[in-house]
Amino acid sequence: MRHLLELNSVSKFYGKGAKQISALEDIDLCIEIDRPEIFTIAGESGSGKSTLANLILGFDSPSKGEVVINGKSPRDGVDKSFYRDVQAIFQDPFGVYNPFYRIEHVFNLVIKNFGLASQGRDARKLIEESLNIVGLEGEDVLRKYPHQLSGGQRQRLMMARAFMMKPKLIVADEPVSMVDASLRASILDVMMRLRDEHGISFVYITHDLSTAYQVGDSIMMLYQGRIAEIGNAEDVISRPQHPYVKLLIDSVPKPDPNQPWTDIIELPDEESARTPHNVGCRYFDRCSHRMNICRERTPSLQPVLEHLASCHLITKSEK
Amino acid sequence: MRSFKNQLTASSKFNVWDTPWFNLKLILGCLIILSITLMGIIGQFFWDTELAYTGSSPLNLPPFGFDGIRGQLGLISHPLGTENSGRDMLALLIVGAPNTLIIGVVAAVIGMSVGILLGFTSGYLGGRVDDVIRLISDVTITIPALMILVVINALLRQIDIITMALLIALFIWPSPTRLIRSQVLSMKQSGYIKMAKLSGASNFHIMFKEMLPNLIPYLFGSFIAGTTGAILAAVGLETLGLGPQRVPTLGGIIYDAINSAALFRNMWWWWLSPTILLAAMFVGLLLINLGLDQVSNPRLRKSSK
Amino acid sequence: MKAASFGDNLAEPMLQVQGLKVYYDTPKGDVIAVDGISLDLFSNDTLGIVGESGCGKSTAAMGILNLVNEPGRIVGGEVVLQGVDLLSLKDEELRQRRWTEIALIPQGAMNSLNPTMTVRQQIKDVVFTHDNSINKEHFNERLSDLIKMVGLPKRVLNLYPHELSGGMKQRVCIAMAVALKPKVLIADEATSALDVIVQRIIAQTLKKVSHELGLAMVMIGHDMGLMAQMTTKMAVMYAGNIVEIAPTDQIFELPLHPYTKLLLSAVPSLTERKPLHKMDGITHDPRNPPSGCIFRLRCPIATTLCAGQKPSLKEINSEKRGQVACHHHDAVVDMKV
Repeated sequence: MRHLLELNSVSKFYGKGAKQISALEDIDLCIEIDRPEIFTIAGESGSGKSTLANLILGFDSPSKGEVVINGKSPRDGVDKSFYRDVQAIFQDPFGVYNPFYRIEHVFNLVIKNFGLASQGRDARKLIEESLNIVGLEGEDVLRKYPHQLSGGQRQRLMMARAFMMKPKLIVADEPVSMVDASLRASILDVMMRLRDEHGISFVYITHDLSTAYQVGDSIMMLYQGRIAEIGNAEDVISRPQHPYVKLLIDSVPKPDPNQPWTDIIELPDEESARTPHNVGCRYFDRCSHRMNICRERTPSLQPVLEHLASCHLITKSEK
Repeated sequence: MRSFKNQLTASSKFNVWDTPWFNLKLILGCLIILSITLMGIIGQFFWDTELAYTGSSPLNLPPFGFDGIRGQLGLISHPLGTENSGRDMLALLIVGAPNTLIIGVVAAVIGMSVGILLGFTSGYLGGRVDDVIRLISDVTITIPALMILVVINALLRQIDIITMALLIALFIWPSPTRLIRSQVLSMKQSGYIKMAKLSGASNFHIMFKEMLPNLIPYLFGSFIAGTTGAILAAVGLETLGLGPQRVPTLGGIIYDAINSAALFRNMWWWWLSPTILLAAMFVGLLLINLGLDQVSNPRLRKSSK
Repeated sequence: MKAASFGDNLAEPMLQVQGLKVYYDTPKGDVIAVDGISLDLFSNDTLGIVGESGCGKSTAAMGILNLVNEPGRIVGGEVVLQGVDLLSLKDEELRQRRWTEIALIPQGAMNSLNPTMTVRQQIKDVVFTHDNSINKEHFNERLSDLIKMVGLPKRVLNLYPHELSGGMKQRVCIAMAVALKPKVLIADEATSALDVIVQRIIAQTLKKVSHELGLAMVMIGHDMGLMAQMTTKMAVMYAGNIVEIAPTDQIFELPLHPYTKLLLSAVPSLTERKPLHKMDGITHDPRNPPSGCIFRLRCPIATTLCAGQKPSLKEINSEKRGQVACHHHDAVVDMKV
């Protein structure tokens, strides 16, 4: 059975020799074609998640490894047929619109280029259908200019546009981080409905662990370009094993004054924390459980509980 | 104690004149340039332009109401006076001003067209093409234009308006090219270009239907700047006697005036009126430029109070 | 950190805001950005002002500092800091008090650091602009203390902003704000663009600084989780009005205003998967607010009374500490979200 999305040992490097920076290293990912899911990729800035989005969408190509979407690789040509299967929603609900045109331009362009409907009434019907899925009405929004609508509306319009093409996969790169907190739920709700009612899978890229926990089926936690922990979202977030992931989850402020943060944490000289080690664990400098082996050997993903994590502590505890 | 304006003021503030396009500088600038252009176009119907030919009028007359160099009185039939070769000043201005403007506009249009073409190519395609175009434009900018033009014009015996415009355009094109290139580079990164790609748009569509419309404010500004620069270069050449000889130009009038020792002979009306007109032209162009700045940069606008 | 609760604090408030009103002039009429808010701030208190975007919290911060620029204007109210009404002062007198007595870390502060000056030069700039009586030695000492207080290494002083990470830049902004030891610090969205772990460090830093200097702090934000961790009392704002103001633990345990309860229910949890609660955002036209209660168009328990009479902030009784502006606050506890 073909996979919908497959990343095989994908790596992305910039620069050469001693100055080489690895944005992503050895990323393996798999989404099944017959089981639509919301696959969350979570990490902080510098983790490589935006690079991953660019690779999946064909805006950039991996230095090593392969990206395959529904049997096609961007390496074979990023063209209209490629984009029939994968679409995207980006973080900034304003920058994605050309300020010169009205909203309908966005939809008409897609319909024309992909021959989704004949002009006129059919096209309008198709647009209206897609708008209704996200809770909007054509007459309210189509003739307006982007700056006349709110961030939440614009983001929902982007989802309508993506949906209209009925792709198999949508890459949502921080779709709600620039949207007001109270409106986030409605956008995430649309994502879940598209998955359940229309069989569309999502790659949901975020730094917000709470929403990742609420909507994600699987989750991949990235740290400086490498997978720290990966597996079922509920499992990973409620029982994290990797020290970084544990710290991250502990640092999400709980909406309960009776559960304050307990420790004072400190990042070591922040500059050196970002220098990638090519061998050994990237988290070495900040890890309170570090051992010698962590400096010498890069940990690989190993099964722990019901998911996978890359930390030498796991092998150690099994001995 | 501070007093507050407590009451809510309602819709009375809403004003059709509040759009940024109706700002004083822009309107004034346009009026000036428009009047000069109109003067050129319509002037010939109200004033006999034959008087711009040599020998058509009495020599060295001062403007109406003034005393001349030999005690002559100005005549109403030559309200701005006449010059050395018997040419009527007003006629000269009516014919000369448009000529100067034409040189400026034609040079700017050519420069801009080249700029759009090369700027887009360079910015969008990048790579070697970009490197080459950038090198040529950067080098051209550093070449002292006036110097080269002086040499070229001195070599060409006769030069007409269009040739002059073409030569000047050779030095105008790098600026718009760089401007458009940098705008294209920054637009390439924007969300809506990514979106257009995801929507299956062709490169042509992206460049000319997505990017170009957003460049229009910059193109306007670049055009005005180009026109100003071109007129400046043209006038510079004309005042040195290197401009078109067969037709009057504002700079050419000034050249004649200086050459005929008008300064010494106290024939102030000869060089003063073209100078004032030139100054007006530049002020008008500057005001348009500032006015356009105000349209495109909301922070420069005055608040409605 | 539990602070003095309402009614128990016998000392004078450090900052007293009374009826602050700020209007915005738009082509289609005035918009009421801040509709007469009042609050008291005591030393060692950290007040959180929370609300959706557009509710007027940032405008309120600018109003408190008398920094409102066109098209906004302050239309009424008093902001009393150590006995002086800031809204009645002239520019020069205001300038003397800003930074030395009350300081602001505005939204996006870390992106507004001067890229051409080192950290040392910028802090020096701030200090000497507002207090040029300090001598050089004293200043250098102060500088090291400041940098240590915000947890940055000394070498940061000689670096330029672009050489610093987001978290470091924000800590520099905190250092600048407290360089002259003000009594009141207002931080507007101090952590919004930062990663989770860095956010925690900034929150830590702010707490430490506030504790060491005995500051009265105002934290403006929209992250309820952060508010729970950082604040001792909270003010909930909706469309320019404070609808509830109470000690933080009470806000979370027993919200008295329907909007507060809705806000709390919309916070996604990290421990329990449940259907996401959708909210609408401020729905009315800001130029045309509803009659009576400002929240009634979105309120699940609104009645005709709410349309007829605007509820004012009132203390309920001495047991339930805090104030709420709602005619039906006792129905909130049973309200379904």
